[in-house]
Formats: sequence, C-alpha cells, structure tokens
Amino acid sequence: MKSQLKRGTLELCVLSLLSRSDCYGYELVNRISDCMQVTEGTIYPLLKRLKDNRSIDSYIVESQEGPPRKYYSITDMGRAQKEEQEAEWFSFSAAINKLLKGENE
Amino acid sequence: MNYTNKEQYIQALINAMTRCGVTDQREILTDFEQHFADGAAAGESEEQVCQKLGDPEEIAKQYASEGFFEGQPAAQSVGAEASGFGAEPGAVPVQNTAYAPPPVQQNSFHIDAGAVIGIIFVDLLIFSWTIPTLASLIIALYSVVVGLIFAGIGLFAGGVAAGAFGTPDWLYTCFSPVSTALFGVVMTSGSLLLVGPCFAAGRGFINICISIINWHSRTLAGRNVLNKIGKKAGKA
Repeated sequence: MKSQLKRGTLELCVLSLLSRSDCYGYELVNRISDCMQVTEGTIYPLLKRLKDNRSIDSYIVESQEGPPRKYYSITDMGRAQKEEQEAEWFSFSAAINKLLKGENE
Repeated sequence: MNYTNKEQYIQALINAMTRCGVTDQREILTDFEQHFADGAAAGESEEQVCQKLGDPEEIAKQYASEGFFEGQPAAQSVGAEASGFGAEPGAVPVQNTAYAPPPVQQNSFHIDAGAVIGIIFVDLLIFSWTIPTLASLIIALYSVVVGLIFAGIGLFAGGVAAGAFGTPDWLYTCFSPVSTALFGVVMTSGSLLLVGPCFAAGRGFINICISIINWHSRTLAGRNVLNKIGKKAGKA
C-alpha cells in the first residue's frame, strides 16, 4: 500500500518538478528523494513512460566534464496533465484528511 | 543482494531486464551510466549510488510492466500501473481509480504457431513409432514375466505329479521329478524378482505419456493437466 501510494503520486511529483524547470535524471531523482523515501531507480521507468506518453520530452546537452547529459522537459500536454492531476490531488487529499481527522462526524 | 560497484549493478540490471523481456536496453543503460557519473561528480561512492537506486530486479520489472516493449499503446499501461493519476488526456477521474489494489501480473499466454507446427511433427514421429515400439516392449516384458511365472508353477506341479503318480509312458524326459519340481520353483521365484523392474518400466512408460500430454497442454493451454505417478502433487 505504501509503495503503491507513492507510485501513484510519483508521476505528479515528476510533472510538477519539470513544470518549474528542466532537469537531468540525477537531479530530478535527488529532488524527489530529498522529499521522500523512494527507490531511486524506479523513477527512470516512470520517466520513460511519461516520455513515451509525450507528457515529457528529453534533449541532450553536451557537458564539459563527463558524458553528455539528458535533460527532461515538460510538454504542453504534460503541463495540462499536471494541472489536472494537481487539482485532483488537492481535492482528494483534502477529502481524505477530513475523513481521517473525523471532521464530518 | 548488495552491489558495491557500477559494473556489478549494471550487469545485474541487464540480466534482470533480459529476464523480464525488456528489449530497448541501450537507452536505459545510458541513463543509468549517466546517473552513476553524476553521482560520482556529486561525491557519492558507487556503492552509495547502487544502494539508493535499489533492486535492479524491481526496476526491470517496472520497465517491463510499463508495457512499451510490446508495441502497446501507452494509455493501457497507465491503468495497469494502478496509478491514481492517469497520464492520458481525459483520464478517468481520480476518485474512481485512485489506490486500486496492486496490479495483478497478467498471465499473457498466447499460442505460438511455430510451437503448434512443431507439435504436429513431433506427434507424427511419436505416434508412428516411438509410442507403439515402447508399448510393445512393455507388453512383451509383462507377457514374458507372467509366462515364466506360470511355466515355473506348471513345472513344479508336473514334477510333484510325476513323483506321486510316476512319469506317464507317453512323456519322455531326462529330468527326474524332483529336479523338475525344483526347477519350477527356481523359475517362478526368479520371475517374481522381475515383477519389480517390470512395474518400474510400466510406470516409466506411463510417465513418458503424461509428459507428452503435459507438454501438449502447456503449449496449447499454458499449464500442465496431469501429475506424474510416484511424485507428490505439486512437485511434478
């Protein structure tokens, strides 16, 4: 349940981070793992799925040190999805919070 | 399993992905190589990076479950992921799909035409001579053993009768009644020793047949239908 909950919300986290700025894989992974405990490696399959869905895009940037870096950016479609999912998350989490705290009894 | 360096980890990931049937491995591996390089640049040891990345098996499974390697449309895998946030436009409202139970690994069995043709050819071979030959051998073995047992009993009875009533005039024999009876006992007991191997051979033959039947059902229906004789159920 715990990991399932994370897995469902991870997509929104990735879209949200990318809507603020483009990131390379390591950077994105670390920003997420700074906030919550995740199996970092599983973010890459998610990135691939989002890319195949055309929610995000990627481009290569040559770097002075080390291999060229792959950056991820959000597409217009991804941005729309993020807005939608974000709204859903806020209303859903508000409802759950209310229920858990027993405010409607 | 703990991995201490990049090579080990990447190799484990390759193995896991191959097992899971992930085909598009090159780009994935590039991503992970880059992750290690960035980790090193940030001052992390390879062991630390391995630990944080997590189990390669889990990652490979997730790549496989995303379902992009069978040419499936992306939208289908979203539901399969049991994600509360559909990625496709016009996703089902979250209230209906959020936090569904974990995805059940679908048993995506399908019949392979090549396997069916293979079965037909092997069947022609098996049923034209292998099975008939084996079956006749087994039947011959049983007949010989049963025949020898009864022949031994007959000799014993004959020997006893000859001893009791005298050898009839029409029967010419160079054996005495006693040796005849003894020979009968030896023959019967010797044949009885052959009963064990005989049953073993019969059981082997039946198991071969069961294997053939199971092989057919596995290929055509994806599962075994029979358990072998002499094995506990579930072990077969």
